[in-house]
Amino acid sequence: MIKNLTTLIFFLSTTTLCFGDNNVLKVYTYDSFISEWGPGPAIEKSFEETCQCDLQLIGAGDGAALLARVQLEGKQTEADVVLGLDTNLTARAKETGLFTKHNKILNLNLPISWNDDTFIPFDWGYFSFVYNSEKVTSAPKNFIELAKRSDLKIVIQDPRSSTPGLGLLMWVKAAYGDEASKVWKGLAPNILTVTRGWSEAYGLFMDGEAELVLSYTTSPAYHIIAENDLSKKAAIFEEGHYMQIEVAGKVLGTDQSDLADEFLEFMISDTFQSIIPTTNWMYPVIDLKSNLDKAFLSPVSKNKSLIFDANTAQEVRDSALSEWLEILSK
Amino acid sequence: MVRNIKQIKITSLLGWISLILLILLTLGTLTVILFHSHSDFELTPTDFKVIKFTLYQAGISALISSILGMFLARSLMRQSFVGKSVLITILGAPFILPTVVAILGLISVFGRNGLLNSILGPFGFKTLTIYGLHGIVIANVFFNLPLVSRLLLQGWKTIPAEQFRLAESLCFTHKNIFLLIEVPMLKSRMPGIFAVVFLICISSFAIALTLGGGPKSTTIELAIYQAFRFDFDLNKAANLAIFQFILCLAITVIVLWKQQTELFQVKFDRPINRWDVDEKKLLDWIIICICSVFLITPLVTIIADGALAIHLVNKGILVALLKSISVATGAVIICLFITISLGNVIASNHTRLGVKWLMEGTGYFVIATSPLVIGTGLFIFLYPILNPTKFVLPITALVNAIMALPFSLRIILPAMQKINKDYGKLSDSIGLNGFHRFFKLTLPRLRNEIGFASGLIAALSIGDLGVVTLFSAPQSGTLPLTIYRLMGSYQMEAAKAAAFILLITCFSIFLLADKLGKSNASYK
Repeated sequence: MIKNLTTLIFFLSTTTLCFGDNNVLKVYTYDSFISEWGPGPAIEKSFEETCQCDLQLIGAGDGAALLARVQLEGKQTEADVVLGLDTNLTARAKETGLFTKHNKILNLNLPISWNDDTFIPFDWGYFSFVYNSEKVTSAPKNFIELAKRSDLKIVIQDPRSSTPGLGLLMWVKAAYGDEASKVWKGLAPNILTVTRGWSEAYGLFMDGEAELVLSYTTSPAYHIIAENDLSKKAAIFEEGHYMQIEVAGKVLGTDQSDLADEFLEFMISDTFQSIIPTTNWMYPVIDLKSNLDKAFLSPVSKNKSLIFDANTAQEVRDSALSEWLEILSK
Repeated sequence: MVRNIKQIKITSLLGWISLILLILLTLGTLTVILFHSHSDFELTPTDFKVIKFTLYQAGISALISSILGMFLARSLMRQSFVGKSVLITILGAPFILPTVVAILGLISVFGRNGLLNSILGPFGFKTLTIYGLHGIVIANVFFNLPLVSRLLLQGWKTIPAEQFRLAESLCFTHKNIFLLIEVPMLKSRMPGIFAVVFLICISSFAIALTLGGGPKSTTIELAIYQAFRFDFDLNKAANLAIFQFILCLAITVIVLWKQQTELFQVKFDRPINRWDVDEKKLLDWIIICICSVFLITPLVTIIADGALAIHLVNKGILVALLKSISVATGAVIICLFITISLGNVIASNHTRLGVKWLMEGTGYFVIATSPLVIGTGLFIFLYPILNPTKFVLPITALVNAIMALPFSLRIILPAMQKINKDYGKLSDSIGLNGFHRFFKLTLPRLRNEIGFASGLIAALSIGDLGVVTLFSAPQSGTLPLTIYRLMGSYQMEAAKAAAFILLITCFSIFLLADKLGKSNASYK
């Protein structure tokens, strides 16, 4: 019996082994990317149709865990491509020296110009507070108004453990600079609680615990397209919205350099990009024209896009975090 | 005789092997991380605040869980009613829930939009909020009260029925029974139970963060997580982990030092008939009812939510379930092996006191090691040799087994010690030793405990997100990981259905193992 079970466990754990090592492209990514509802399965299928290779998408927690994983593996990493870091992490990722330049001329459709020579964006979104318009009839129009509304409770994520959480920190900093601490002081009473990750926060919001949740302007698109529910809306703030740009980069030590380039090229093709919106629920990085569902029309105008470049993001991060910790720990 | 000595040697060798395995997985993984890191690090005032808060919330939570658990176990012991064993099993369920599910369950009862507020609201009560220190305590009690009461129920069952018969004929009052019969048992069990609960409360962070209402409720574990993930400062992570280690070690040592083994009491394994139940009936029933409502309502909301979404259960969820079950089976086998190997040595009359302490202590304070540290250490250690992602499930089974060890040790060890106290000298004198003694004397008397422990280990393993997140490959999703993935892809309803499946599975396994343990017991 025990022997059978060990065999079973071994079998279950080694099903990934049954490939030769030639023409295998290993892409490390975050966990929700590879879930059966995420973009992973469709992308794997369509890339393998053309590349005559085996594309292996390997999950490693979320964005920050992903980078930590690559750092842990160091130069010996098996990854050929790392997909799923965002601009708050790219400076640290470059410092590791594990990534190589992409040498591509990119023709992207982003609200900002993209100058990074190492990482290539594959999707993006605006952070925003999402609310149920059946319950909240007048949404706040900026952080100051949100802080004054004692009837509105918000759920946010912890910047130490969650990418959107860190995004909010950057958002307030980018919009208010040195005044950021005042904004946080004002917001503190509105914060119902801080969760470890996006999932818990969104779960609380969906159960009606809080009026607003920190998420993305694309979240309502999910409810419209997948559930035909028009009630969830993103509150549009006058200060502008901080962007999350998700990127991928080629690993320096890869033994599949050509295949990796091919994949990165594929990543910004129509095929890949048209999978992204309704699986990853983010905006595509190229203009899909009529192929993009109307629910994905950006509610934020280009000149209201906020983002720190990678180096500034790295510099502000620590001081913004200690400021946040200090104010919310009181 | 020679063969006997050889067998004693083998049993003690197995004990030492288990001990070395434990030390490698705890201190070993920590050392690996320390060697892997380069930066200097000092504990900052913020870190000390974090440490203070961690101890504070764990202390209060453990105290309340222990006291409530004691009353609940006493009431359950005294009253007999139809469906009692089912109720006891149901009350054990919260302990095995994955954190995220438990938090959502608790919030659906105590939250702003929860059941409690919607009941109290119409009567003009102000909206109650669960977020704060009391929220953390409520959650920790929710998790640990079942554990405490189950462990103490076991304790009560080891009191020989003869003592109660004697007490009856001597016309003992309640006070007499409590002081003369129950307190000695409690004295030998409570410190260990308190310590285990305290250690559990130390090492969780999602509960503290979410229900504590924000970063003021930062625990050491969250700081370790931050050091790993946010700063990628392995040195800081390892040092914080060492600090947590030392704290927990200190607590474990104090507890073991204060703890006494139970007195010599041979029992004839008769069922206990309590004659003294009628007088305290009302009080007992109030305690049972309040605790049941507190523990069961969140479960009911999870089940109700999940049952409504049951049509969303698909192949993916079922495959994940199968993987979780195979991991759990592995974890049960490994954990029981270690528990019994250690137990044989600890309970033996031939073992020196220092060794007993070392083994029991190591067995307990693994709970205080951060799974993140074990996982990362293993990863760094294994990566140059083999790709850990290819052995995710066996590694998860191993780590889950280690994490469940303190509980199985707490369940099985006292019984082993008692068997040795009661029958050890006799078997020594007739030369019943080693494997023979284990299979003929010890094992038959341990069936109850092994059944309960197996159910608990399996359920804990199924409900645990564990290290699988560190190594995960697309094919390796266990059920809790699948729940997280579902939630991360907006599939909140499907996640609830999966949580429902998880709860039912944990529960059935727990029930089955418990039943198997009981049905085979020829000594009742």
